[in-house]
Amino acid sequence: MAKLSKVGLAPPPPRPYSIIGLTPAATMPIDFEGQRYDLANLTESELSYLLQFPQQVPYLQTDNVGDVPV
Amino acid sequence: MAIEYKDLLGPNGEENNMGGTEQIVYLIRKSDVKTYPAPAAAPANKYVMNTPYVLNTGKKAMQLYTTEDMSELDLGSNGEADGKSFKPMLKLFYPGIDEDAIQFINDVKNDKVNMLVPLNNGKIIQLGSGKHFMTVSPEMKTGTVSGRGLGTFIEISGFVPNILFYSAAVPLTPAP
Repeated sequence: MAKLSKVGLAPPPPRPYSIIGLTPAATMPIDFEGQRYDLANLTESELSYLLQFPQQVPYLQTDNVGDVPV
Repeated sequence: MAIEYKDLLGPNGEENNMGGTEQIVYLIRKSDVKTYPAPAAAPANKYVMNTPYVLNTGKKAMQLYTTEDMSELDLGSNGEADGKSFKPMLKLFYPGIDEDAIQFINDVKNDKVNMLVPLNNGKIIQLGSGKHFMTVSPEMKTGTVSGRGLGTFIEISGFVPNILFYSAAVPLTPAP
């Protein structure tokens, strides 16, 4: 039990974005447009792509949203 | 919104019209949903859902596998003249039987659900909404030694006023 608690409380690695509306975890899968994305471990290009769809994928926040081409 | 049909000019050779469905479909229980998908504020097409399901704490969309070439979705016409609607019928086959499968079969038989069905062209059909729900009819069969093999034929059906596309994220991570 103590082991599980340690794993469950492990802080997520720092990311250049924050995730809202989903439970934080080491992996956070969603499916969108026929592709599987792990929101906890997005590549730069995946993040840039998903930020173009704030209504369809309303889980991502970044200070640089305005810089992402729409 | 006034009805205005767009020209339907047929294939240009770039389409993928593979039949059946993808081998993973998604099930969302009525009791797990906080808010249902909706079209965009000023939609170009009001039958395309543009926002995702928002689920209750700890809930997520369930993934349901189907054996290849054993899934099909019919969106049949329902009703009489001036009273038409649609009667979706999704057929799947889940191979084998284990504790998780038999728990699903037993618990889902009287549940109310929505389904997200990915087609092989990348589109997702949404079956059900906040006002119309699907029911699941699982039928486990041993089959014969030389037949399909042990597994469960699953039929998911209901009645809906319109066919809907779902173009938002499928939440496979539990809601907080």
